[in-house]
Amino acid sequence: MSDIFFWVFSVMAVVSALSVVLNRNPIYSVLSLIVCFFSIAGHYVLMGALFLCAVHIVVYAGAIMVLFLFVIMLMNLKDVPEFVSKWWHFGAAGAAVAAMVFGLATHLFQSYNPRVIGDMQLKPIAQALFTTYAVPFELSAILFLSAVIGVVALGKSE
Amino acid sequence: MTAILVLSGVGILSMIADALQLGRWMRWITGIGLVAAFAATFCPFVIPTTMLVFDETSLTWTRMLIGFTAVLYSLDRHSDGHHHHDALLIFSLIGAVLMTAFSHILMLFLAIEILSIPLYVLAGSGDSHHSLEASMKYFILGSFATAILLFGIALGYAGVPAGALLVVIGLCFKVGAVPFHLWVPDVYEGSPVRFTAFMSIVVKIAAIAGLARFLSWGFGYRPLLIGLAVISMIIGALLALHQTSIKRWMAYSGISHAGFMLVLVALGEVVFPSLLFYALAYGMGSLVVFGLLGAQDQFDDRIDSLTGLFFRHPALSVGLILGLLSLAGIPPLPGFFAKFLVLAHTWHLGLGGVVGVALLASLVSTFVYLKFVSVLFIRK
Amino acid sequence: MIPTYSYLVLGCILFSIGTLGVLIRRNVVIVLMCIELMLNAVNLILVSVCEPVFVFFIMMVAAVEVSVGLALIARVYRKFGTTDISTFGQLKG
Repeated sequence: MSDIFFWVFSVMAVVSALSVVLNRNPIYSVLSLIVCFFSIAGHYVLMGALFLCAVHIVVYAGAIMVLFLFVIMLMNLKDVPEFVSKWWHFGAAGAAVAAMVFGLATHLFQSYNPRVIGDMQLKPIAQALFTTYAVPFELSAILFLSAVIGVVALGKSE
Repeated sequence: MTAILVLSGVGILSMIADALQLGRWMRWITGIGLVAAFAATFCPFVIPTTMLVFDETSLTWTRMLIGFTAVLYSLDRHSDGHHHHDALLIFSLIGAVLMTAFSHILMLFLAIEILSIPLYVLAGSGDSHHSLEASMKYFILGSFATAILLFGIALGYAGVPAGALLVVIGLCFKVGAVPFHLWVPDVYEGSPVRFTAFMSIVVKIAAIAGLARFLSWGFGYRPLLIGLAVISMIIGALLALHQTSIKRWMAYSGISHAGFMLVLVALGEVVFPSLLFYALAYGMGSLVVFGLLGAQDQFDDRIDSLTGLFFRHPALSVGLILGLLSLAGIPPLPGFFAKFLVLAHTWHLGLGGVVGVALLASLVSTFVYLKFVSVLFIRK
Repeated sequence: MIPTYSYLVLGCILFSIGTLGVLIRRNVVIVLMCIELMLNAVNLILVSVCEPVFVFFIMMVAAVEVSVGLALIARVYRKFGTTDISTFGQLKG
């Protein structure tokens, strides 16, 4: 059963990701990205990471994508020429991506070290965040603070 | 650790001071805070954590970074008006300090972000269109590099050995080593001069320190790094030849110096004191150049604008010339000993080809610096 | 049970698609979306090898990056009237 879901979510994720990249209309790209995020959330459920799935949907689909939609609606982006025009850009991009996929694929299967999917529920994550990872957790507050100051600075200085 | 606590406090204080419009106290708060943070690096108090390690190595880097920022800040005369920049600068410095002290890969990632996010904003804080463009370029390429670094980390967790390579590439982007250097001249040119100086001194040294610490975990990419270093040295020096903008010129000369530092990083922990000395010499040289140029009433980015400076401001010119000659590696200035150490170490390890290219690169860059110095003596 | 490496392969494919997008698109907003896609591919791999805390931090940083990035894009749009990367050619490369 979960095999079927795996394939459904995988195909959905790849197709919608391709549609993000290849769509000419930015609004369709945003909607495809939302579909992609939801299928990734489906994968999280399959792996038993329920809390992460919830956070993922709230943060990505709920906050980030709404922000994107808002910005795209705010500016009228119809007149932007959508793709790089030079053919060799396409060639270089395709070659780079193909090289990466092949390079990884050759490495992948000889040395892959699978781990047991353990408990990824709320309690162990919270425990880790406030014990082992307490310092990075606190330091991330600095990151947020600088983002807030930065966005205010960008917004007001005109 | 205490230094980070002090710096965070100073950052928050200057943010509040900005909100309460206490503009004239700002410079005092930030300045005294930076000195206090420097003093705090000598305090033995540590918070028990497995994420950060404050050994002699990272403390030395930390002192260097805070010291450079403090001197840079005190030399800066153009900070009127936009006080939120002080808070962002301090937060960015915290990221730089963290990059020298991480002992967990998560901390490296977080440090890079804390270093970069304020810088994206600071790069765009100038008045011109160029500044905003520079900021946009820096943001897109920086986020792209971060994504590649994260992919490397994820592959590392999955047991794929190529993961560490992608992390090294992500860090080389921050250093500005040659195939990943395309953003450096544009971003340096567009940013306001005080933040260009911060990027070329503090950010570059922090990235080098982070790379050295990451490689000290035992990832063997020595041949690759030496290759990148060799290309950076020579290409940085060659591209500096025909620049007309001071900031672009400093960007390319910084790329060349990054090449020399990468050689030392690649040689491992044995040559660590030399790396430290090179970073110190490079930082001091750049500090003198940027500090003196930025201290002029009106900063003009064209190299031509310095024509005949020696006859107008002899004292300033002498300082500038000393800084430039030190960067060029003319004895008896510190830059000479730094470059000499690189050559000695590589020769000692039998890497004759690298020594040859390094010699060629220093020859070219000496010519580049002398060309700059000669501009100061041309009568109008 | 789905073997873990299939998630690794899926993550690599999604990451490659994101990279492709960053390289071929000219609209900054889409480029930023492709970077988000890359971060999500990373998250997928990290969840499959059971590193939930790391995923948590990446989500946080992604939110920060997007907020700063969109603020920048909005400012660029107000100043230049476009979000096309290739018009930023005033600085030579």
